[in-house]
Amino acid sequence: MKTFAYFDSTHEFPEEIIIAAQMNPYKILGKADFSTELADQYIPQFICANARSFLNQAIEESSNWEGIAIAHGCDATNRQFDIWDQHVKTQFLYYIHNPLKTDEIAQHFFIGEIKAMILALESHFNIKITLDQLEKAIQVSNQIKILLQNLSKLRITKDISNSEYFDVLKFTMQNPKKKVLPYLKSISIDWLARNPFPINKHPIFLTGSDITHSLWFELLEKVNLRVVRDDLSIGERYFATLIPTDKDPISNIAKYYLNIPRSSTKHPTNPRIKYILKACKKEKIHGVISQIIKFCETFAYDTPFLKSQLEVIQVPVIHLEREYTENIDQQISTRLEAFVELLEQPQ
Amino acid sequence: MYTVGIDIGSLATKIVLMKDGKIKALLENRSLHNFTAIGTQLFHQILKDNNLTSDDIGNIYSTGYGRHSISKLTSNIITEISAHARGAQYFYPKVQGIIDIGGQDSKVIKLNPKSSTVIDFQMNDKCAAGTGRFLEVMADALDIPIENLGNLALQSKSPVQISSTCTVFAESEVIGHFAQGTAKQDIAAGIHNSIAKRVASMVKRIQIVEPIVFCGGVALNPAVKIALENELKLKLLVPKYPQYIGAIGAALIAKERFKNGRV
Ligand code: SF4
Repeated sequence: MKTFAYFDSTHEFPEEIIIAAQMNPYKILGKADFSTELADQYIPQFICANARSFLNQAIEESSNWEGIAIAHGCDATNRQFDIWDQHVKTQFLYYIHNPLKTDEIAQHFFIGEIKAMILALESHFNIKITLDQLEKAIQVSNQIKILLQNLSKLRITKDISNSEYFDVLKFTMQNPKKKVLPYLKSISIDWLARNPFPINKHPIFLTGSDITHSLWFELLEKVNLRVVRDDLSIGERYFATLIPTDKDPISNIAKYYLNIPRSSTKHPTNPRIKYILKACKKEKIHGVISQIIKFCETFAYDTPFLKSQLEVIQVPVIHLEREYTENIDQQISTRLEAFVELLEQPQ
Repeated sequence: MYTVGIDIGSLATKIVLMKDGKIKALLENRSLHNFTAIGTQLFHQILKDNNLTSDDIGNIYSTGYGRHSISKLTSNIITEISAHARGAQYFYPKVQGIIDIGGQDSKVIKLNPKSSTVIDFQMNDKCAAGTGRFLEVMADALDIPIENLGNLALQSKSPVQISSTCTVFAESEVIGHFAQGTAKQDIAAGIHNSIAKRVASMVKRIQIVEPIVFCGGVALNPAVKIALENELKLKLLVPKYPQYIGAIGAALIAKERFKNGRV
């Protein structure tokens, strides 16, 4: 199956179009070795390393992909399309605008964007993307989301490590959906048979910039912090809601992407905070880890508001700024250990 | 019961021997990037000086940057945050905030006024500004021993402004002032104001209130205390042995967690 890659700084790109076009939508997440050197020639280092690592991977691996789409994610990265246009070798590079708002005008606009992208794909690849194919793609997407929702719930009751959860999400976003469905079913059987949630671990909510490598999840695991809820794009944002099926498939897709759990890249901030507070109350979360990758200001700006709202419901929160590195950061490790000690203090 | 707290900092290692929660002996040495050797050596030395053997010690806790490096010796570890919070309470039970400036890091800790537990903390980023290292580099740039930097600053009537927060750029700025013939004491005072500004921004972020304990090796420098007090517009309490607060806290926690055996 042919692979079509996409770069969206959150969960923005309507991958159902690519599924309907009989290609594998592959979310670009940077290479395993954390390399950014090639991209550093074109993007200054005060831009987040996530974006630089995505470009780096594209420069190196674009020949494996039929085409690439960039969706409007955060404002720090949206104009990087021009850099990709100049320096990434590909037959088909496309930019899709995702509106910042969610109202009717925004939905109408996004429907137009989806239709335009379908036309561009049909014309470039000489294919036809029918409404029927789009409906089938929605079905597949929803099946995957339901499986992920069920798996995610097991994090609260079973012994599922942080990186196992991350690995499942990453696999889902980078592999053909035909392969993903049986894979998720086998993971469900495995996870259901797991031991109960370990008593020495603290259930936490993880929020902030997207985490693209399992190393950071392992670091949390090492200090006994277990991510049982999150609002990351390589996380709950991808599967928390299902694509509606009540209207025509294009309107349904548009509605879905504008109504998933919000990220800091969209306005206003309140829905994102509400999602976090609700999860904290529902799952008896011990604490919240709010982290950003340097220099993701998009998420950094939300932090004081998030902190003040968590104070109201008395859930401890720690905010961390992390590097993009394959090395364990000793300072971050100390802060996390101190946070665990704070959680374990007799009240 | 005897307990020992060892604070292995990036620059200095401090060890405290306590008996029933009272300080019996204190020792320190440069860490010299050999945390295991220095920690072990100080432990044996403090035992020898006090005619004790390892079996006499109920519990041993380590803290600080190198806290994981002497796991063969210690019963457990504790982070600098918890250790400093506990150590500061030993001298000032009603403390609500702590500012600790060590060799290569600085931290601000906020305590719950009712339960005395830690409710928030800030640590400096990977950056020497706002730490003892900043003062060391500046003393070198001024070509004076670090011990004299504080007293020199106190003689200043008109401190210069050091606007760079980065240690490397601040050093160039200091050299620039020097070249222009600015008096050393005015540059020294500017340096102290600069470190105070940097640390004050961390204090403001979590809004600690008095009583505030100022500890860490840099608290031995009276000019930093004054600069911080001026910047924050509040009074700071410097305990006896400010550089040992982490080790004292670790030894106290070691005592509190002792339950018929080392834990
Ligand atoms: S990490 Fe932040 S700055 Fe980087 S792409 Fe994502 S939202 Fe944008």
